[in-house]
Amino acid sequence: MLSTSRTRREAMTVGPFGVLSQEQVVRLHEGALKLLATTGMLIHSRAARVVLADRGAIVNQQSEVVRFPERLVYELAGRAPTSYILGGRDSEHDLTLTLSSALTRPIAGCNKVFDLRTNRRRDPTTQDMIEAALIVDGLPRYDCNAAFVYGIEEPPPTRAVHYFKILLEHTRKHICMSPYGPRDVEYMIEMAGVIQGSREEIGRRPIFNIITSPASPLVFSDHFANAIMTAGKAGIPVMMGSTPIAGGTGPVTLAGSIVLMHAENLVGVLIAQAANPGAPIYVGPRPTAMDMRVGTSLWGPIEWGLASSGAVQVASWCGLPTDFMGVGTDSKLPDQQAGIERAMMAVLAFLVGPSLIAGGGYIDTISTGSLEQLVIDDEIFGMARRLVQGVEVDTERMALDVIDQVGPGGNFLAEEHTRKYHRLEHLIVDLADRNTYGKWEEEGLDVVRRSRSKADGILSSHEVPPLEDASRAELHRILDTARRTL
Amino acid sequence: MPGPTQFSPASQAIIDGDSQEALQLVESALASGKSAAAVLDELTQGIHEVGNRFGTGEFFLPDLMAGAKAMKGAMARLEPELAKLTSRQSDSAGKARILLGSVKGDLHDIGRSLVGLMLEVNGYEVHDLGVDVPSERFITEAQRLNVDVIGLSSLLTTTARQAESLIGRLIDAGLRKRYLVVVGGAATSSGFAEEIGADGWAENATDAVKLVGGLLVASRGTR
Repeated sequence: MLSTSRTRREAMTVGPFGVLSQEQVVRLHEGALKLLATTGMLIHSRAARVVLADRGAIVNQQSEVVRFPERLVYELAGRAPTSYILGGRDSEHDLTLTLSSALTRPIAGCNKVFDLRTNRRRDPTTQDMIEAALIVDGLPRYDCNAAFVYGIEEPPPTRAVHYFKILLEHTRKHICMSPYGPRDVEYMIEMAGVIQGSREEIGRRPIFNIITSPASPLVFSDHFANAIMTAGKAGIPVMMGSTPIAGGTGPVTLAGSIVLMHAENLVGVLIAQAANPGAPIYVGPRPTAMDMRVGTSLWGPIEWGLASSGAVQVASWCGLPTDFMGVGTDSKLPDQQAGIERAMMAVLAFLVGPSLIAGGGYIDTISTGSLEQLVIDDEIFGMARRLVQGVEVDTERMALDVIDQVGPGGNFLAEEHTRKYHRLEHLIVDLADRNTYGKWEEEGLDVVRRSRSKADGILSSHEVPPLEDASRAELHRILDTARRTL
Repeated sequence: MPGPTQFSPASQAIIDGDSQEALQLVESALASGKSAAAVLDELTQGIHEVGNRFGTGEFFLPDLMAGAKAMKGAMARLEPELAKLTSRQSDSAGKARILLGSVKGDLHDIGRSLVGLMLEVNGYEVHDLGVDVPSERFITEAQRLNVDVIGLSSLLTTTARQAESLIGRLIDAGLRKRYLVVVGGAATSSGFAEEIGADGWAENATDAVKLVGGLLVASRGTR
């Protein structure tokens, strides 16, 4: 059975590297403050406007635009915790999120799945959801699991709740959910209670977090603003995922994109903190860009890496936990384009060192999840993490004694030093082909097909202990209630 | 996958590549009156497990090396005792003899040494001629030592053909059938072995042990 926790050697140590100078960070942050004080944000949730007005935000009741004095931004954003626990189904899988913990997770919310047999995408099924949950649970370099691809068998209103139940049954890792609205979140909290026992326990080590997103430019929908407040009340962490399309729903420049994302995400943070002081949050800038030939929004260009790095830098500087979409592509297949785009992005993400690194498994501009890519990304995470660990220089690693002992013309293979350090200094990978030609030729597979066999191996051998019958029945009862009411 | 097999402490010491522990366990086993043959059995189980784990990717070359070294050290202590058991037979009776060397022009040492070590700890008598060995020397030494197998190593495409010339010389001298000739090293392959008329090819040290074992069994009775 595969180990589900990272080896000690791969333990977290990341960043800090920045694409922005300190001066640029401050300038962009001040730009966002200016936007919030002067332009303001349209917030459709009345409840959110009320709590913000209570704290001193300037609300125009007619236009629903809310403006934030600088002092208020600092006061409220300063309440957001810089570190908290992301709970697992058992406490062994609990994680500690910090400003630079670089916890990895798959993408949440794809609506197609890539089918290797046809080389085409198709509608996902419940079986795809279960398989993805098990594979991520079994892959050691994923810290969290997520609602990877939404199957179509469940009707849209309860898709998220249904998915959450499946994840609770098929993973022990912390779960990232992409809900449709606040009512979903309520049912998920109820389900979390079945596993975790009490509201206090949920608040202490929340088993899931949710993703929300302002609608660029500068609009917060009713359902996401309410979801932020509902989740915050229960202590469920919330991601603020501003996603402007540069040149479409956001300015085309990278600096403009960073300012807008920072401002919009800050508003999410302010809603959360105004409603529930100290509520766990994190910000996930998603700087897409419009392809000016076809008008699509891009999720894999190199500027994605630059603007994400910059926005993460600015948010981290403000003491806000962050999420960097560190692997992604616009390619429709897990091909070389996918490999190129995500490898570049992953290196940047780990160098910058955010709280979370997301994106595992998505291709096709976030529309499609690929189980094969999910497996390949586990290895990319390992390589990128190894990269940022750098070169350790100490007496034993310099190996002067060993070199002296082996002497001119000798060899190091039989040395205990070699045996001890080869695993510590050299990442052990299993997807990258390093065989002799003859051995490779026996199967003749490329990395995508090897990742498929690795996935199949996990599916045939990896087991997540089943929940107790009573818990499963209770989850089912909650889902049924949701089906009747949502 | 079967559950974890329980290994005896001596087997485990070989698996762990712990030379000191292995030697100490051999000493105490002998002191307590255990038969040398029984101790050998445990050590052999250990080195087989090392080979298995290398085969499955769990173990790496340094682990293989450490296991083999521990085995070699333990065997050195055990051999005089084993000789007493079989005192009426000659010293190395029953052991197949293997001559190894890197072919002329080839200075690569590491892989061949590991093959030699693995063969040795799996019960063969190994004579390693080292690097840059001319064909004539292989033949004179093979005759002098009365070996069963000649193992040729080549890592360079420019030197690999030396193996072919050696086989040619053996044929010319009417000695080809006297020896099993096997090849290995980066410049070789099973196709290459077949092409030059060698008896076998192995990818790595553990495969080499299997190859030689298989060939010797197959050739028994024909020579």
